[in-house]
Amino acid sequence: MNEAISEVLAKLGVDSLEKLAFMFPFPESPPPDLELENSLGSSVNFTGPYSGTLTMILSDDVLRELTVNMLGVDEDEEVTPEQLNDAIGEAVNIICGNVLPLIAGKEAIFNIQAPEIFPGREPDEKSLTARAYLSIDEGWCDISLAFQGAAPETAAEAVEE
Amino acid sequence: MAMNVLIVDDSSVMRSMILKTLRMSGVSLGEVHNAGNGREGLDILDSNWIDLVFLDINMPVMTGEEMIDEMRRNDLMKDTPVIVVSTEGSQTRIDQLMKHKAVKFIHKPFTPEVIRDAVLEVTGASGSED
Repeated sequence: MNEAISEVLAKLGVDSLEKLAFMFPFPESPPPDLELENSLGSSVNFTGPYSGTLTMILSDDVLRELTVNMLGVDEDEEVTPEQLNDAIGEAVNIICGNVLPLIAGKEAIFNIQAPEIFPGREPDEKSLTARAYLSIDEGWCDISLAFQGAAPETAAEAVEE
Repeated sequence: MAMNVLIVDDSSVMRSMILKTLRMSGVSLGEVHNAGNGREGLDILDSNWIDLVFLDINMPVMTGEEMIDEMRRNDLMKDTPVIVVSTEGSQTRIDQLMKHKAVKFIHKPFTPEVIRDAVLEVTGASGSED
């Protein structure tokens, strides 16, 4: 696991959730197993100088709060499954768009595919380059990054510069 | 003076967020129109007076760049200010966009202050009632 990139993921996750939804997450070590029963995941594939997948999994309460705050509606207002999917899709897209320049440099050009939505699932630690787990009130957010093939060494160097 | 705005993004949640943030920024808003892709955006521009366009890039049917190209070819739309709101991270692409399409670029996620400053820059007025 690349600790430098994991730190970047954590910082971006915190920053994005603060700006998108006025939430205040705290990075923590991930638990041995995520509480996946009530959660939703989204991932985006990217290609470019490096190729891979960024995945975000949110507990249901965090996803609902994210959606409500992005929409700017009252806490108790009903939100549709489509809106929940839309919100997590946007969030993972935003994090991916922000993390790639930090890893590959500002001039690098990537193509990011449309997000896929799925029931929450445990990240495959063996395939991950980086991972960040954020605690938000009673809920959580898990962000992971997997490169296709080994992550080039320049990725870590770019982050540490 | 209130501004009529058009928000073009394939995410309805993001469109709501842009509008919410615009309101928080203090910009005085008139009519607000929404579109899910560039083609819908052009249809709205065709039949409504729009002072400012907020535009995503990656959309189905017609992308933001394609929409800007169409706008620039239309005498009635070519001078309408455009603020691109995108996750695009490549400075190369952003520079090309800003230079060749004559737009302002805002990176997602954004704060009310960023939106306010962008509106001021492209329109010359915040539209604030203060």
